[in-house]
Amino acid sequence: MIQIQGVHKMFDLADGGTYALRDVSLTIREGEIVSLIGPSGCGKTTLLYCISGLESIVKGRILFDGTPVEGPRKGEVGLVFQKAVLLDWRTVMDNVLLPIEVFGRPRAHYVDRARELIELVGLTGFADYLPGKLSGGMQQRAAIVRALIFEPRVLLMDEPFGALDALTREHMNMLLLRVWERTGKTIVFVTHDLEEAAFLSDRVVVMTSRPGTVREIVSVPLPRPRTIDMRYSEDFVRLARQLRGLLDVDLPTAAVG
Amino acid sequence: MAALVTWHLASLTTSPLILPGPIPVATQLVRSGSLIMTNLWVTLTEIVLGFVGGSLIGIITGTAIAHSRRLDGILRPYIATSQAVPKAALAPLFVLWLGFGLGPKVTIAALISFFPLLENTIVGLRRVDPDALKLFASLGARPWQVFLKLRLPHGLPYILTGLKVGVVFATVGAVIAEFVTANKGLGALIMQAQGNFDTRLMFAVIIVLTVMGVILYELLQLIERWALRTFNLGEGHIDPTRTEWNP
Ligand SMILES: Nc1ncnc2c1ncn2[C@@H]1O[C@H](COP(=O)(O)OP(=O)(O)OP(=O)(O)O)[C@@H](O)[C@H]1O
Ligand SMILES: [Mg+2]
Repeated sequence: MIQIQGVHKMFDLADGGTYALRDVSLTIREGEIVSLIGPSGCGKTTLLYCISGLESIVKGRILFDGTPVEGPRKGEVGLVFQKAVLLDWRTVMDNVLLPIEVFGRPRAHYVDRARELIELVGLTGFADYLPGKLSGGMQQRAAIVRALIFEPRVLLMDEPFGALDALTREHMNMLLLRVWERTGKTIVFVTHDLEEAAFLSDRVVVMTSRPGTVREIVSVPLPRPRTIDMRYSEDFVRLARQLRGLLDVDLPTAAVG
Repeated sequence: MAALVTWHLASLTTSPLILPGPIPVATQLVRSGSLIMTNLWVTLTEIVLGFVGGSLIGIITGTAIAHSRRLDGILRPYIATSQAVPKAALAPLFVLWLGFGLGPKVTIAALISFFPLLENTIVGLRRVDPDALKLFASLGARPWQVFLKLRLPHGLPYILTGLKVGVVFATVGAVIAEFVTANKGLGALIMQAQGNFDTRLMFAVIIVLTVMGVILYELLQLIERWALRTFNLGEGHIDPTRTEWNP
């Protein structure tokens, strides 16, 4: 369980400080998929970094099963970025095992697990490829395996499919759900795409524009396992419309039309 | 081939003192072979020592600066200033300080090849993807791990490019230093030939220098290709508009 309690985050700028997050509170349950949506610059990425311990917070606290986060801790969180951030000079297998090397654990113990995960994300046969030879979607799959290889407690994903075309993104959504079903990981998922958020999540957190606060937390009424067809169901459309309404509050009225 | 023919035709219309033709120059090359070879070894020694020394110091200093903002802040103004100094103009000074032996020539060659390596090492080690740094940080990576697994592989192509520039610069540096000290080496031989109005010998030496420069460059090019292929690295980059690397 991740408890985010009254978190404030400020960035020091040349002309004083600005708040990026103001009084954010949120509890994420074990094995849950929670999406963060909100206007650009509202602090979604910042919140992920605070959870991972990469950014310090000025007020409030973040607890992992009751233990406060005070900096990056080995093996606790798996990060996935919008870009795959693979090291070009390493093969898929070597990229996937990078965290193991950094932790100083024996590589050989993880090769089988790496192969399983590579198969799970549909990269079988590409383990010895260099990233440059893979498509964007395939690179992102490798990045997901890299984040899972060390069994982190939580997967933090920052618009991981934002750079992919719509169809590939849908495939990756299904793939992520399959991975989630198999591994039971807690996932915090940032996206710009409210339909993606609705489709994947148990709950969607809608944030206000800067400084980011939680505007509303919406539970997704769709059953599991999710299927592509659900994207066209009445419940889904109603949910999407509701999320849309919550996001549009921040738009200038003229733009809403 | 066309260049050779043009050279030959041009030499027919000019005094051999100003522009000797390719055939007399080639004859001279053979006749002065051993004289040229003796001096070639001297120059080559200076180049290699200066290049190896200058690039090593450049890479080490660059690595230190890339890792420390503070060091960067302290050293940067001095580096910027010393880059603006035409290093060749320092040759007489180094002769004064270090005598007429190998010292001043190696120093000049080292000084000139230092800068491209310094600059390329800094850029190569620094310009890594900020997200990759976040990734390493999230894994709790130690600084040496970030260096070995991220910065060095990323910076290596830049450093290799710097080495190619550096070896050419070292050649320029050694020859210019020899102009000033006029004792041994191919640069000195050019000055002597000039004093004797032996234009053919001058041309012969210049050709030898050019061939040597090309061979050194190609050698590093081979090393670069080998390293890039072995370590699966991409191309290095160098900003061709940079002017502060003046010899
Ligand atoms: N290192 C930093 N220094 C100063 N300000 C920063 C820094 N990082 C983020 N900010 C500011 O904090 C705010 C939140 O940024 P953040 O990147 O978290 O937003 P976001 O919701 O992820 O936006 P997007 O949807 O565009 O990715 C922004 O206004 C940004 O300008
Ligand atoms: Mg963001």
